[in-house]
Amino acid sequence: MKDQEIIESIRRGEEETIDKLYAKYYNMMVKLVTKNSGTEDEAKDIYQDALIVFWQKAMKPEFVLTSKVSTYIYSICNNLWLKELDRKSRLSHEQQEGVSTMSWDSEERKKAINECIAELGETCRKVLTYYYFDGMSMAVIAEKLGFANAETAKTKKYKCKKALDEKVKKKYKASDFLD
Amino acid sequence: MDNLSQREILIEKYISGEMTSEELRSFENEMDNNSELKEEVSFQKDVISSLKLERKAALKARMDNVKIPSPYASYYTAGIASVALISGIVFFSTFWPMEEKNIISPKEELTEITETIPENSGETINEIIAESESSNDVENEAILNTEKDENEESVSGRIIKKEVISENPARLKTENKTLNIITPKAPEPLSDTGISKSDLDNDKDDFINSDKRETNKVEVEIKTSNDYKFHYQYYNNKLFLYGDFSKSPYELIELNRDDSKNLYMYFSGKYFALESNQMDIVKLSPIRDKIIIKGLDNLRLR
Repeated sequence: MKDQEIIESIRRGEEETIDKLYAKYYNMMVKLVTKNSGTEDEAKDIYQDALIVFWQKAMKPEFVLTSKVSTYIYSICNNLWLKELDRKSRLSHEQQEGVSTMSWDSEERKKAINECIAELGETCRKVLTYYYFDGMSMAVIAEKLGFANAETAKTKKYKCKKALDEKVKKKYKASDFLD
Repeated sequence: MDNLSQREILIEKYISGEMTSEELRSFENEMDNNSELKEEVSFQKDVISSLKLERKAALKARMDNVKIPSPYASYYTAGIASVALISGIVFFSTFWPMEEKNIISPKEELTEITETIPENSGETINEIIAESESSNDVENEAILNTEKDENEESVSGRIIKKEVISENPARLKTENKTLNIITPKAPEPLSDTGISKSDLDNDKDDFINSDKRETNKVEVEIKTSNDYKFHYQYYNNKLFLYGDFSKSPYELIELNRDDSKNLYMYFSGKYFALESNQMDIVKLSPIRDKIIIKGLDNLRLR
């Protein structure tokens, strides 16, 4: 697959391309991290994050590939790992200070949200996650999920989001009373 | 209703960071004065970030299931190596058809015989040897004065007269002009025929020695034929190679496991898997799987 074909494939939301890229550069990227005082698990984690960043970036219509795909992913990987090293060193200096800044309230709400997401139908979950995380266009979502057109996808997304919000609010309030 | 969805659009725009600085200023200003809006923004932030995490986890789980090619096929090689160690026998042989030591004896024999059959000079070795055999047939009793029965299967060479004239270890015979059969399974007959050890202790000694073990296992015949240029048959531990294998040495790699035996051939930079019980003459086609090639390379060059 040529680099430009990779970008085009990603823009069509073809997740198999992630699989191929992942396998292709796995050894190279993991080595980058393990050679810089990372474990293989950390390396794998960072590499997966890097590929996801690449996937999200390539999805954007304004994205222009200015280097080889492998070089690009390598540099994301490198940056992420440097950040992680930095985070780890700060963590060890400050001994996990400020970990519980999140309020109990917020934590309860997040729990409720996650439960509701898990209860979503498959189509709703896909529409919402493709839209919010991957940044797929409505046209691509329609194509992937077999909707008539982008407009249908947009309506679906709106309805799914509405349903999720209401569900969470209901659940969150209910848990208020329960506790 | 329209107002509400307009507000939702603004909230999403704010959360995704897509507002212009002007929009941002006015929106933040509104939040300061509207606690309900502020609360809704906070709620939407949580919902959207949870959706993102959900998707990210799904993508990572997807990648976890991708099969990763092992670096430099090291796992595969380790696998082969351990199999080899357990069974303790990796037979490894190099045949040099029509070259060097295999031909030493025939050459000596030839000089002897070609003297008596001068019209053969100038022909290729192959043909001369073939001729020498047939001359054995004809002039057996007359010239060599032995009671040879020309049993094709009698392997050990015989010393006839005082010269080293043996049944050709690299057994050559002509069935007809289009089909020559060569059996380059030299070492055993050679050492039996009184050829000094030093003749064998040449640079290919290692190969010859392992060759000796090997010959108990797989017998090889090279056949030349107009119909089959690069083919093989392999059954009853006998391998027939069809084609011209004289340009470069070929090597047989035998992998023995407790219950099975795999035979591979290395020839002119490529590996070929030789299926046992291959009664039909089939074309030799090189192995393309990089991992297998790497593993065989490691075995062969070890």
